[in-house]
Amino acid sequence: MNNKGAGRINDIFPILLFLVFTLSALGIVLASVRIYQQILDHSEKSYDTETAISYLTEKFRSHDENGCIDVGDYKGIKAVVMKNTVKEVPYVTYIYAYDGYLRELYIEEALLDGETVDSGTKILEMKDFDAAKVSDGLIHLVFTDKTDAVMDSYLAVKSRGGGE
Amino acid sequence: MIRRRLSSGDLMLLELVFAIVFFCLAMAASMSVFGTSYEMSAKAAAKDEAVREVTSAAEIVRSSASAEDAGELLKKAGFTAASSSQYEKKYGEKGECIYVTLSSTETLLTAALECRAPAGNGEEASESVIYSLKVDHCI
Repeated sequence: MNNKGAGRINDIFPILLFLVFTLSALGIVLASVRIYQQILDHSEKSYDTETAISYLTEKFRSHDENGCIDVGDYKGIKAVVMKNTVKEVPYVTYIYAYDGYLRELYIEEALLDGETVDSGTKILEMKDFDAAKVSDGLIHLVFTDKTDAVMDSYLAVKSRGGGE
Repeated sequence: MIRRRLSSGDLMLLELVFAIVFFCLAMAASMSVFGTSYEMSAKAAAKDEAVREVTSAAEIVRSSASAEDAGELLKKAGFTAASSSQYEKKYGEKGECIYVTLSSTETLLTAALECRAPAGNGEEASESVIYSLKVDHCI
């Protein structure tokens, strides 16, 4: 009888030990996955808004001529307005948020009336965008992404005065 | 000389002990690696945020015509005046702080911008600087 009991333990124990190893390995993997997921969440959290800020910054720098950057509206939506002239033809760029996207519309001023509010090219997902002129040479930008995370930035307009 | 073998029960016990020790070592190694990477990721995110705040403040300084003008614009941007030439603002989820110190001559406005980690456990503000920048702006 005792031999039978000892035999059973001899059979069951390796299986139990294998289960211990398996559960331990599973525990380690699950903990590691959780930590890695948190790392990814951190980096994805502000991706859209940071990209939008970088994009607007580059746009400002490339359009920074006297009086060419302003805050206005496009079809009733708050927008950053940038003007430039190509071969004596005036063009205008509107950057605004509509229908869950940050959009850019680059068009000849004379053809503006024929466009609609969703004519702008989608740049990236953005729930809301606001721009306000703090002073003559400083613009405050506020971005709200699809997760309702808000990020703001100040951009200085280096060239001032002049314009039409 | 009599050579004595361990009984099967003793062997199993030994095996169990080794298994637990191995598991603990493996857990410690994994947590150490992933913990370090989490810490690095958090530091990088903190630095990103600090760079963004300092860049915004630098833009404000670069758009101003005088030290007083810069001070007024900084206040509009949410900074509080700690003294006549120093401004500060808390940002981020952990209460990091950005400090702006202004000084000017007739033609040059200088701003020292610094982001510092938050104080811990009610102690004085931490000495660790996350990011700093010095701006010279012609006025």
